[in-house]
Amino acid sequence: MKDVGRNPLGTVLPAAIILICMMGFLFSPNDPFHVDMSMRFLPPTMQFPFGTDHMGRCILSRILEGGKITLGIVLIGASIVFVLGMIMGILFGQIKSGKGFLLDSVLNAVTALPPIAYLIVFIGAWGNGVFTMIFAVTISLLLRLIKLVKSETEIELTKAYVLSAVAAGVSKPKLLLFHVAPNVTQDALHYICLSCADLIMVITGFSFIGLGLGDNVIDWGMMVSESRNFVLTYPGIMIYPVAFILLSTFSLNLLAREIEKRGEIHA
Amino acid sequence: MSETLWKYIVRKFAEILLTLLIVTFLSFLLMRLSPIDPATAYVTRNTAHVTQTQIEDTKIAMGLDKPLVIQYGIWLSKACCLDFGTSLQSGRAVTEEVGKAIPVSVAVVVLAAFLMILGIILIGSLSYFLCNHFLGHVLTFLCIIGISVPPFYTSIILLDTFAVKWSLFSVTGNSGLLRYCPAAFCLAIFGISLYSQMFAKGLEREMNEDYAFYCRCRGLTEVRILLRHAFPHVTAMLLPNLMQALGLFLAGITVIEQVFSLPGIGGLIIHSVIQRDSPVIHALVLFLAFSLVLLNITSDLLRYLLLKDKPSGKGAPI
Amino acid sequence: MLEVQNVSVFTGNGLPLLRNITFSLGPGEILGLTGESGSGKTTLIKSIMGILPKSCRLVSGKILANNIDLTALTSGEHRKLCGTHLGFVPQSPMTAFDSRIRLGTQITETLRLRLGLSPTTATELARQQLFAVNLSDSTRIMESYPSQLSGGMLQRVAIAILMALQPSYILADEPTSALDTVNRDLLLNLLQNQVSRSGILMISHDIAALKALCKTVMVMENGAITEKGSMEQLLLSPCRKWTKEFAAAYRLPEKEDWLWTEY
Repeated sequence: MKDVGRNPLGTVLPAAIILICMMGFLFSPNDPFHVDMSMRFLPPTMQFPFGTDHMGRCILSRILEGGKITLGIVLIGASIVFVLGMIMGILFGQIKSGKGFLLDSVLNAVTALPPIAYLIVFIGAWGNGVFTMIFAVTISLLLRLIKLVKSETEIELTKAYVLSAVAAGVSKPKLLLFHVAPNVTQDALHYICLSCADLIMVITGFSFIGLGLGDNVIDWGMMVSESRNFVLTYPGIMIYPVAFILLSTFSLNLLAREIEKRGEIHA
Repeated sequence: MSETLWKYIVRKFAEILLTLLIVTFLSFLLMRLSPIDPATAYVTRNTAHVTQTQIEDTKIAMGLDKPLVIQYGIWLSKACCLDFGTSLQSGRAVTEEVGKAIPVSVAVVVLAAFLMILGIILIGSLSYFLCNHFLGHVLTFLCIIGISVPPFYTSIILLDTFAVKWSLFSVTGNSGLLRYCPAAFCLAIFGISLYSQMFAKGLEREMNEDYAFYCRCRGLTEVRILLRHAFPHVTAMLLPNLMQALGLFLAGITVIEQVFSLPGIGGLIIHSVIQRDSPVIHALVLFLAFSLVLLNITSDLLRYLLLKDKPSGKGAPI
Repeated sequence: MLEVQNVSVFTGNGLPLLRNITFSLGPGEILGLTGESGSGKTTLIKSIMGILPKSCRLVSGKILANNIDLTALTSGEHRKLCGTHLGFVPQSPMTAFDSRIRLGTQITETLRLRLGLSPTTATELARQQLFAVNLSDSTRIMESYPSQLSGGMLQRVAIAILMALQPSYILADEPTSALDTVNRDLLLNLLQNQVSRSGILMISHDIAALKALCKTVMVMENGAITEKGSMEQLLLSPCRKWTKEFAAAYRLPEKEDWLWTEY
């Protein structure tokens, strides 16, 4: 057995990258919306570390602003999903089987659609916008997380340690909070990380093809699609947003792997 | 055994119906809750001077004045006879619009599935054999990158380098299957990267199982154990996931079809979303839900047949 | 003659799994091997079979079977000797078979590939051997999946395969640990019958069985053989701590000796 889980770099580095991508806008060097047609396609300088785009705007500032939006949507959605999903999943999971038949069927039914399909339905109905996205992300992930946590809780509750805890007179809320929840968290986090990576790709993909987040909202997918027109003459501009998308999804996937490995070591 | 199978089929059937009902109702509900009124949008698009009476008339014509449940009921009863109304955008029957798009998307997805299976087996076996080797780590790393690259980016790269720079294939002019190949390839990359690692891990786990040990002790060759014993186990384990991945493909194809300008359901979805063409959206949602459910069931049945296990009714968590 | 000479096995990180193991096993002999779990008994069997996990290495020593040095063979050549020269009886029969494939297919697969028989002769031989291990309902057994049979039946299927392959040496890894008393007695009888043409290395914690079957019993501790002698001797004058505890534990309950049926 290789001792990989102990390596703190595996979790700290990706987490740091994601944090930087998301909070970096606080340190952006220029106004991301400032248009200056006299400064188009500048190469990287001290003032514009990544250069400027076709409208003379600072690419770095736009990337950081876009990171705030893209990652913000995903991570805010994911945090809400994590809290609600854990609570509801565990609560549903401890219902005795048989009673929860209807709940089971409904959950099975609504989770048959993948998150992307929900996103499409939401965008179709409500138009595109940051809040629609957050809402759609939350709903689509939440349903699946509830199902995941629910079935995990059901499995945990049949394990020997739970039975012995029950025999030792541990009360049910305590049991769920201190014994079941920590064991389920790992899988929930793993799922959340993978879904976040997936969602970043979906959201940037949508805004790439024009189902963006609305006017005057910068996000990475839109930046890729804008720069695509100049890819043959200035291929550099497209590299930056793509690199950042890749960096964040890669970090999230690494994080998920690290969490999974930890689970294997503990198990 | 057959009795449980029947029970299972009946239960699954009920679940399909429930899924379709819930999902289509959801899409109705969301449309209704939408801040943009489809009737207003329709009138604004088609006439220069928008008057309130026009909007009211359109509402009545589209049946939007009735309560939501009744609207839904009407739509449902018509949908049972495969009548999904007419597209607000083109005025053609929705079935015709959707019917034209489905074969394109299905062709891409089927082709992608084929490529994916090939890739998973190839790369999966390769990373199984290389698992303690330096190259194995490289492969794993590449696979993580593969699941991290947004499909739209791979498609741009493919398009810009192969089609625009090298003109190996033209962007729109190809006919037949060749036309769908680039899109299918971009779709497949994600699946290959994700599942080949699972495949390799599965093989490794199976080859450490007791039965593999006993097979070795009976003198069966490693290749034989791998192909005849471990392989089917891993396949049975992965097939349900693969089926679900196909469902994901169907939904995820939206972006890629747009890049390669294929007239599939992806393009139709985007188009009708932008134009707020609710009949088309409802029909597409129904189609998506239906095919996904169908894929889920196929995966469960396959699992049942392959593993001789009782189907659990629960899909894979992701 | 199966001779294990000074065999040492290390893991990839340099931890010793086996240290300097030496013993020999002749035809018609049953050698017992006992010791606490994790002491390296199964690793020993794996090294003889040549199926050590990739992370482990046989560092030194030789394993000779009928004067062929097994350690010098390639893994493919070594594998060819498994089954037909070196037989194996699994520890937990419930997991030893591929759960997906009918037992008949698994038996005939082995017979066809290892003995080069045609499918019909392989089936015929399989039936005969199943009959010989008291599984007279061979059609049903061959049609069953492993999960449909009991542990005792599956272990007898394993013996049937073993008998069909006629190995010169049999390595039995706790063959009775998963069985109830009746099945255990049956199985030990079957193994005992094999001794006329094979040498048997039996790993077991079953003192009664070791006492009754084996002339010599070896005790393994931390990858090394620490004691050797007849079971009575070991029970009477155990010199290592583990053997002492083992012997003490044996004295406590009333012994239910395995009845010697044919000797």
